[in-house]
Amino acid sequence: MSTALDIESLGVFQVFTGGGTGSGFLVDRALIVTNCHVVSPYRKVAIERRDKTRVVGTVRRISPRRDLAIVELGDPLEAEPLPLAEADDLVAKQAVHIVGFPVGLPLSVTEGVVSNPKQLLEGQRFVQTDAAINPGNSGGPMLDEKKTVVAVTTCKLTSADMVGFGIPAVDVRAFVESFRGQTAPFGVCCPSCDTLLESADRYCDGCGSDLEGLDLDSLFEPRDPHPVVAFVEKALAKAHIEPVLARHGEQNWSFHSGSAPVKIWCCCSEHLCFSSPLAQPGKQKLGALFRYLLSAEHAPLSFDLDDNTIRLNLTFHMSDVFAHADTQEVSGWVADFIAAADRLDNVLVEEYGCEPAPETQLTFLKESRPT
Amino acid sequence: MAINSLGYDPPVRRSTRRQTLDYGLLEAANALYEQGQPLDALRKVFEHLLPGTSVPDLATNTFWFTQGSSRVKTCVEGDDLVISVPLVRLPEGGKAIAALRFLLTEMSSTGQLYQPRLRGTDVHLEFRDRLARLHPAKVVEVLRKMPAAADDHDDWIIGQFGAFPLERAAIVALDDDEFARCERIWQSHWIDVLELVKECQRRRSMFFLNEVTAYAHHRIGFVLPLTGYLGARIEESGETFNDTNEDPVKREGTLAKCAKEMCAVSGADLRKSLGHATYAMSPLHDGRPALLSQYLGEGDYRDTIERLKDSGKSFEATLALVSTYYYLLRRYSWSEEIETALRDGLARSSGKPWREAATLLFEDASELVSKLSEKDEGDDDDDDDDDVRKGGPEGDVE
Repeated sequence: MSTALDIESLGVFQVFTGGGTGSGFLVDRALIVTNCHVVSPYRKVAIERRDKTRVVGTVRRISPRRDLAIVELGDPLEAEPLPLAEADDLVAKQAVHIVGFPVGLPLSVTEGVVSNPKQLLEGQRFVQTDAAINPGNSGGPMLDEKKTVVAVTTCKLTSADMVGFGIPAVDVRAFVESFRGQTAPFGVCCPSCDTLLESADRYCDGCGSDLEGLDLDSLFEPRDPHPVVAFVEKALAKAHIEPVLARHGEQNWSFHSGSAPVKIWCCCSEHLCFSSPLAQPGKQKLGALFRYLLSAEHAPLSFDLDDNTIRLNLTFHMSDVFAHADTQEVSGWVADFIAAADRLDNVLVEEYGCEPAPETQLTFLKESRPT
Repeated sequence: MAINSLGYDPPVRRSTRRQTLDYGLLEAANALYEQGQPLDALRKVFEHLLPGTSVPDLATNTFWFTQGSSRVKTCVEGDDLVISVPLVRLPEGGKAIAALRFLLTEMSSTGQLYQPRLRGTDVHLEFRDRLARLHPAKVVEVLRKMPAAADDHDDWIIGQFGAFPLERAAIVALDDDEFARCERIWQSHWIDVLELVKECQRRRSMFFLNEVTAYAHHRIGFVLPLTGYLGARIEESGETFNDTNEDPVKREGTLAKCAKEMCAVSGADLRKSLGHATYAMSPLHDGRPALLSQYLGEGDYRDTIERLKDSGKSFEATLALVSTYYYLLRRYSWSEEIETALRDGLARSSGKPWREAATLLFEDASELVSKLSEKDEGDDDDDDDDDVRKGGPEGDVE
């Protein structure tokens, strides 16, 4: 395939949940199509714009059988929606592009050909391709040379090389069109007859199928979060950070506090870590900078150098998370940490001649410089 | 000159007192914490970790204990508990920047409850938290890790960056006779290691390289009471030459460089890095019979050694057994019976030709494991859920 592809202009975005990340694409400015396995069991997800800001999306429809989902955006995105292929006319060796966010990397494209346009797998038809597909590509579009969606990337065979699959556009089109004709705020498509299920009943009203295996309860009424998740998200909310927008996979959160990137994760069974890569040391004032970073005045916060990046850190022991009382002060530290991250990158740049860290949002850095 | 045998020298390093920890005390600490009695819980934690040590009333007294070169201070300040270890006083000038960078790179970290803190020119490792939030698990983690971190790094910061010792615990100097033995062992060890590196290059065997690096590292660590900069330097090199995931050529090169550097160390510098340290908590892991069986009992590792022994590769088999013995002796504290058996095995194989040494040690190891298994069968109380992973002697089994 020789034609250049301006992927940044495509309406393909990264989808973040408390379970992981995936890809999705606009079918109109307020609707994103992705995989069911990318969003389930969450009803709220985050979609990241090109400028790294995020918007909350509401999961409106899921089809566990066809592994499709529709997410409605709170704020429409300024990007071109991708057209779905009209005809079911793919042929073997036809060129395709896989666009998405493999293994959490920035937007990327891989290319290959259609290996089989109607491969039968577990009773369903898929578009099989030899293009590289990796975790994180799920839910992204498989495009032809006219930038038309010919399939939605869904999975690959882990036991073989270059055997990936997409859900054919004809199925995606049917799924989207049926959604547009419905008004229910949330629904699940029956795996047997595609009837819209609007509650967690055991049997489908349309075809009578036993739906026990779908675990509809968890889809219609999300379970209580893990205590670590509850602790972090309560603390984030208290610090005026929308938890849904901060989710970045299993017990993992990332967001920007003003200019500063903030990352939260469990590094082992014992610790909950907060870290913000703030800046990189310049060539001057190193002694004063390092003394400032190690100064006891920052406790309970601390700094370290990860390669050449200065990070602000805060570590909790799990016993703090599960404490019966006194969580008020601990969650106050989280708010202090988030505020300090936004403030201290300015201090490091302005007073110690540091360079902003690669992930620093420069616009906000200038805006929030101390006066 | 080709190497024909390996020698054994009784350790100059004093044996660390084997401690049997009372986990009932830790459970009692958990219960007291849950009942809202953090100071009583704290006392139980100390009694658990420091058996035989008299712990004062922590509400009104500062409590100090020694862990190698670290002096650990525990005191209550208002509603907080503060545990700290004086680390170093920073030097003047350019090396201060390197020292500060080292502290920020190697000693500060995410996922760590204590951090280095600078006051004036003094650096302490510190942990501070509300008494009400002092879950015993948190305190145990800090007390186990923070003094060890200080003990592992202070000599390096002093040796590399010209920092000054800060309120270090006294290390008992060696007498002349002990030092003479150390000097002799030191020189012969590193000369042997250089010969073994040549053998590595000749044999081009990963198994052999793994055993040579383990031997180089663990024998010197077991025999000599290394406390200072040289110990830290060997540990630093060991992180590369003992890393089985590292490029073998780099491992060989690092070991050769380390051995040459150590051969060139003067007597005065060696003396500075030797001494008998005191440990309130055993720095060794608790050695259990099941662990010994993992290394010397039936399994892939033993099969490999037996195959080497029976196929004319007695050098490799001997080296594997000797390095495993040293690893076990260096990393773990054993019952007197096991420690004596391991040391006797090394002593009896000392200086013997490869074939004889391999046969002797292999039979010795088999007999020891079988004796312990018989005991195990008659002991219903023993843990049968030991989760140590199998591996060569270079592996970290904790």
